Amino acid sequence: MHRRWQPLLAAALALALGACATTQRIEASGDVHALLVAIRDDDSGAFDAHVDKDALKRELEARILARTQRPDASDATQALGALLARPLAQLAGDALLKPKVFLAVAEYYGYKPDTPIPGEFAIAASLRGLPDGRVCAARRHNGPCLITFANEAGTWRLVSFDGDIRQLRLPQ
Amino acid sequence: MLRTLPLLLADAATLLALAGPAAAADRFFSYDPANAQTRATAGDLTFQFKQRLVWNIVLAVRSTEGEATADLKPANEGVFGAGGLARIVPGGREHDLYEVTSTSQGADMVHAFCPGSQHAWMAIGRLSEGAPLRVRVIGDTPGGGRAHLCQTFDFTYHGEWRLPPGAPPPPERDLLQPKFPY
Repeated sequence: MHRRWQPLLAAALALALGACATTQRIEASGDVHALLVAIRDDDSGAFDAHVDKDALKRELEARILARTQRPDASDATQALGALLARPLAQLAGDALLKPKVFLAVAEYYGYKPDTPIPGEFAIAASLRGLPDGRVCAARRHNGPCLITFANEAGTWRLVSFDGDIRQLRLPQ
Repeated sequence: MLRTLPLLLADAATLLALAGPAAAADRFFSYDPANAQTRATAGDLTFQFKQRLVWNIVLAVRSTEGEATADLKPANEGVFGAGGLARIVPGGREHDLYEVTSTSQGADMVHAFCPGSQHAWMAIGRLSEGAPLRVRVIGDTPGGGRAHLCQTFDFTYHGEWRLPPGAPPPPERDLLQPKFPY
């Protein structure tokens, strides 16, 4: 008998999870909008409030380590990578985690300086709920995540840059 | 004379039928937000509609600067119960009512424009070249409460996006394309 209920329960669960993911995305869209405005206006205070620099530096460190610890890397490279990954990530993070650097990233993805910041509708539609409660933004609905946000004490903050790290360049 | 009347009516019906498809090409009117609240919530919107001889049928609302589309379907104000649209928007002049469907990014639109609602409707003013536009967004109240006004958006006319002759409407906005829809 209760087998009949299994599809219904599964459907209800899927609906609940879907609604939850939608709520996440809508909640996040306001803070993502604020971050986009901070980047456009080169507002360091608002930018810092919506970016988890420690998380991004840890991610940078992990990427440096992954690059230097590849099997084809020499022993010297592996040793240097292990030794310098953290200070390099700290240095690079301090230099790169700034609104102007992210302005260049935004331009790469189609948001030119004269492009209006999208409203919450478009931002929410571009976000994707992740199983761990975070949300990420992709350039295309089915494309890979490019940036990821997490709810930290009620504010959605940028915690991961999933795009090509080479896009993070200091402005000329 | 009376014998020719049916023939005349048949001719008129044929003419109307022929005029229908010719006038039914999709048009895209783009609007800019006229105030801060409209800018933050709705952003720049483009309305895709079919122009009929007397009225328009709005098919979809797209974010002009983002990849988001909500499909609309005509609705009857009877869905709001006694008093209809006039109860929710007294004195409102936006009479063309549409339901936001759950296809594409419709659910995102409902949640962004009417937080807490499961369904939303748009009462859209007349889409007229060069004229401003007002849109009322109405949402349901989960649990059986009455529908309520969620947003009043005001826009200024930006322009019409022209499609190349015979080109189908684009499925969605591509941010890397300098112009929308092409």
